[in-house]
Amino acid sequence: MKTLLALITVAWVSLIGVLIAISTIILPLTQGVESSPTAGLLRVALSLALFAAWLVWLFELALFASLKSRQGRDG
Amino acid sequence: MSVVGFAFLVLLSFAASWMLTWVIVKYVRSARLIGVDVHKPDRPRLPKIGGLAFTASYSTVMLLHWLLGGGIVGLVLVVSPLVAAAIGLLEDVRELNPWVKPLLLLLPGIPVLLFSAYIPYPIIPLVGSIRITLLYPLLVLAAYTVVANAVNSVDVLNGSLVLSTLPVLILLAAISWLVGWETPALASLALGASLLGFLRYNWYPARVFSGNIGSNLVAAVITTVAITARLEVVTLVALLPHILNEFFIIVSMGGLKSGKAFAARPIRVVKGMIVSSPRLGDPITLVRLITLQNPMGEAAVSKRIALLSAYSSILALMTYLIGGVRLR
Repeated sequence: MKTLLALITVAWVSLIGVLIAISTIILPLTQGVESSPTAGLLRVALSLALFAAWLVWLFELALFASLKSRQGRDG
Repeated sequence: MSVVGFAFLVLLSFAASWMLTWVIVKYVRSARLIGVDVHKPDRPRLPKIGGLAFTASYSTVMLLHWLLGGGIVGLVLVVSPLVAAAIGLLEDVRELNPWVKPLLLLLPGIPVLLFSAYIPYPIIPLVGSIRITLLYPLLVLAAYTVVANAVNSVDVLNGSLVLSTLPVLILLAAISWLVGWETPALASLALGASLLGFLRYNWYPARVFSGNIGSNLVAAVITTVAITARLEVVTLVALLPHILNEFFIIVSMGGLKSGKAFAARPIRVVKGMIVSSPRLGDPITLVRLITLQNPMGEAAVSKRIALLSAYSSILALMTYLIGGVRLR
């Protein structure tokens, strides 16, 4: 149960980290979205890339949980 | 709509679901509509379309609300969940290919797109409103299939569907109401009330299962509320236990596969207690991880799933608050 609570917390904290990264790094980097279609496209592409990275991170968490589960039974 | 009218519809939803579930428990005997409760020593055979009861009660209440002026949002909150429920009923009576099911579950998103019941500028906490006019419709379609599979993956024990989704529905109802989205708030509460009526017969030891019809309806209502009330990220956080469970299953089974076609089981039942499987290669699920250290009764595992869901709903509320409370 503690492992699951920790997993959910880590997933949430990392999602908040992704949102902070989008707001403090990607958005300032892609200023001028109103006038430049390229900037708008870049903003969406970078944000999606970060979100995809978060999904991969969730995937890694799932793998970690499965490993932990196996170790638990082995140990 | 007045608070009295709102409360009347919610109570009607609860009462109708309770009565209709009783009818299903008492009268459904067809072999195609019966499933085996594999977690009980005597393996009782129970009706597996109990979700039909809360599908009917929820839809009737939301249809009434639409007729009383629920608007386009009210209409899609009837149509999209009904499409998802119909796909679930189809799966309850005949096995669907594990690759066809996700494709079929794109369909509930179509009414949302057809009636333009969405704003393609999702409000992302800490980021603000982002414009993704072309991408958003694709995300709408994908959301239904992802959420339906995730919610369905947790509907494995008596009461687990209801207990794992009630905190999410209460959260969505509260935020929608505060922000001024009356129809999504009513949909969340009406479904929550319907689920409570159903829980009377689905709680351990269950006398009825919700079936895919039930889990698909719940998932579609949550998704439609998230889209129409612009609570996409908040809902994503609230559904973290469901999404993680789906990830566990996909990772440990090596892709999208039907659970029925997979011989290995994540848990075993020993003297009425759920025991985590000792075999290394068996699928990893939320239930297996919960019972990893100690064998537990089915009701105790369902309560722990509810606790996880309540915890992630609190995190979802914090996400909403961190993002800055907004008015519609």
